[in-house]
Amino acid sequence: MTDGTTTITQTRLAWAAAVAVAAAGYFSILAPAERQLERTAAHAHELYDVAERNERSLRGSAALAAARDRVARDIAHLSGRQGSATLEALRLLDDEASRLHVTIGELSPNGLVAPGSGSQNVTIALRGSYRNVILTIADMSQHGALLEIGDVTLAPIADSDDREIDATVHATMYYQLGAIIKEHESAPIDAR
Amino acid sequence: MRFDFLHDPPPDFVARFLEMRLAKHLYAPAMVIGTLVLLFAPIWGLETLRLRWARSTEMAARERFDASRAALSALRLQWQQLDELTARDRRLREIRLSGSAIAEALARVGNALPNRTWATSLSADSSGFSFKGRAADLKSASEAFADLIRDRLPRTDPSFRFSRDANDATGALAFEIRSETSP
Repeated sequence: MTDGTTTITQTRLAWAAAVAVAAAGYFSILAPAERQLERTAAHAHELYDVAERNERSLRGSAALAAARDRVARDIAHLSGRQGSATLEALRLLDDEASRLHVTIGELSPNGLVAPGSGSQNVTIALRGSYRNVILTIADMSQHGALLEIGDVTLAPIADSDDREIDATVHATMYYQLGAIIKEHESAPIDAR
Repeated sequence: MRFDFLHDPPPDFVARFLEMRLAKHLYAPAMVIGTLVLLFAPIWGLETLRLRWARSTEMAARERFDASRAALSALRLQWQQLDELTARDRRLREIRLSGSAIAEALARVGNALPNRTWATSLSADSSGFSFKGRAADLKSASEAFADLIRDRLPRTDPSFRFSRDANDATGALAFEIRSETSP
């Protein structure tokens, strides 16, 4: 009887040990390895996806670099010659005056230039026929010195027989491209 | 007790293992345990190998991701530069076209001047225009205003005011047409 009980107990313990080995094998080898594999594969997949998206975005980088170079060239072209803007403006006005038969009566700065501002407000007085004055105003900002026309007032000359008019042009003369950049940087965000 | 290399006999684990005897009722569980051990050993090896492969794949994906991220940062910088350059370019174009825009506005208003009125002052800037003139009578002045807003400058919404100069013997009127909208 005692031997029988011992045998049964031993058998049960042995089966329990087998079950324990199976459970230990599953929970300490198989399950953690599978979990780890799943995590690693998911992470690798995620990285691959993001890298793929990034690379898709990068495909237009050559076109972007070309566009940037094009805009930079355009800026260099539009900026004109930087340096003595007053000299350039005088040369421009002289050219316009002789080409379009207008008289430049005045070129005067409005106030002092703030140090480092890079720009100066000026007043230009013109006299000539209506057509030529309009053409001069249209042409003035397009060449040489960087001149922004702010406002223009035209007034007929009271006792003129030649149907000439006087034009007062208020303009901003930019000495340096930096002045425009500063303007751009100080502009409110919503205006950009 | 330490193993004495010179005097102790060599340990013979295999012989000892072979000498071990199991009771018959333990054969089946022992076989199962043995089978499980034999089964889990290659599984462990296989899982380790698979994990190594998965990690090397992850490493390759990470390297690719890092490279693409660095390139993307450079691209973002290029975009930012392009934005800034474009804004400067736009501003420069505004400056370069400022003269022709105002000249066009002046020409539109000037060309719209009706008969029996004459201009005393015409001014324009980027935000609008002001046209001061004189007319022989109120009818001519109002016709000038109507003509300007109806036929020549339909997109604008100008204001109109007039005054009669008591000292003017001809009875001419001074008027002003002002718009905050560019013609």
